[in-house]
Amino acid sequence: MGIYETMKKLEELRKKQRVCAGVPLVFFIGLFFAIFAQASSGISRLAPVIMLAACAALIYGFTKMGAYSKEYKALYKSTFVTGILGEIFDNVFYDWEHGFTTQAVNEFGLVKLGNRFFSEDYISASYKGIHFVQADVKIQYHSSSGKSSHTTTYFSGRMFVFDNPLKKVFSVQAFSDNFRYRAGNPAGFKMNKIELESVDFNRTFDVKAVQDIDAFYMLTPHMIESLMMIRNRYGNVGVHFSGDKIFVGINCGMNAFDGDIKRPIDYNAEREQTRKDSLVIINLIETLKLMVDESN
Amino acid sequence: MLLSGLDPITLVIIVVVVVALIVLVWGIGTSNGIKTLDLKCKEALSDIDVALVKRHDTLTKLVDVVKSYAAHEKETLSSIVSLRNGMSMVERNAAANQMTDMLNRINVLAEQYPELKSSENYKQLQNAIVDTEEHLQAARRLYNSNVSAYNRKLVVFPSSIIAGMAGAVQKPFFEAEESKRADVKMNL
Repeated sequence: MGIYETMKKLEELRKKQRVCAGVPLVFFIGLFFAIFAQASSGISRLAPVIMLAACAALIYGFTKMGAYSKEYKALYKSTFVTGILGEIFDNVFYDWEHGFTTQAVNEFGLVKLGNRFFSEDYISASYKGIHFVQADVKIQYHSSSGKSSHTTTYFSGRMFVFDNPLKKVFSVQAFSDNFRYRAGNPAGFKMNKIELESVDFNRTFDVKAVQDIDAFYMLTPHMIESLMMIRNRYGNVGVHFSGDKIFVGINCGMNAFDGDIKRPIDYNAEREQTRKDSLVIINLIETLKLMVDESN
Repeated sequence: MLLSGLDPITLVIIVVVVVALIVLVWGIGTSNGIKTLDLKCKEALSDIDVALVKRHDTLTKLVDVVKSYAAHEKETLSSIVSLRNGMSMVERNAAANQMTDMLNRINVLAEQYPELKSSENYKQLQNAIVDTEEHLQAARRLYNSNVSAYNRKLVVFPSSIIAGMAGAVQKPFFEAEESKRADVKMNL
């Protein structure tokens, strides 16, 4: 399928999805008023039948809407995401329907696990020899007392795992001050609070490490500067250095590599957005200076 | 209510005992705090020693590799520093600086011997040196951070009273190597 046909198909699916989202609701509301009008002049025998029909229409509408949404997403991702990822990164594996598992996120040692977990847009690739995986993650805690229910979002954003072949440490966590729902101590080890030389950094980040020396080894003055830059750029971040991996969570409240089905697609704008989402990964690799220097 | 039936002398005694207890508990807490920091300084110092020994060993191997390529440069490579147990902070600083000097000389030499520079062994040892330097820097920063907290306890009132009674003395910092400090010199 050429670009023109793909764009036409996307727009078609988008419109169908919008119609499916709107029509059953309008139909249901209309019927509700019709029943209400008839009921005021005596109970109609037709009322239960009309209600049933309205419910069936609603279910049918939403089912179709879900199907169109999925088809739209699949076409969007294959058109705008897969290609661009291949242009920017090496050895790309992309699965937009799946993400990290709950167990994997638990092992990242970044966020407390709630009782609702969603993850999609799994990417495994490498950039300049550095292997990484990433996915969108949403973690919530839902509580219900019978009369009322409450949902707290622990994390909504992107998580990354970078290989860090140059340095290995046991466990060092650094959370920006606004990263609230932090994971506990990994594997139950006692962690010490670490104060580094930079007063500004100590005010912005909470650092904990199983072994104090690991924190000073990992958080060099350059790394301190890098983390401050990441914090300033993305707002709400958690970083966990463990073994030869760096786990990064950006709690930005948004999903990456997603098109907005509510508005018509602009080919260039969507490509640009995908590039921007990919640049976050490159930016992290470069800011954290993970590349092996081959010059010497 | 409870104390209203007591005579003034007993009341004074109770107040004095309570105050004395509070002071005692605070004194023990502060003394333990100072001892804990002292222990942390000692641990950090042993991290420095480990890093220095690692750096020394790697440097010795590097010197051997360089000698195999540049046998007639004996004079340049002869003065490798020796480490011993119980070195003072000044001696540790001197040892670290001497090792850095030696490394600089080796780097200059390597420029004259392209075969040496391109040898796999040399590259691996250079990477190992970089890693040991990073470990040394981390150990130095941790030690200085602990020493800073320890010295603060010793000079700030009222913990300085307990420190004075315990005979604690301020600890010296492990200075940044001269070459590292030279890096930040600016000619304006």
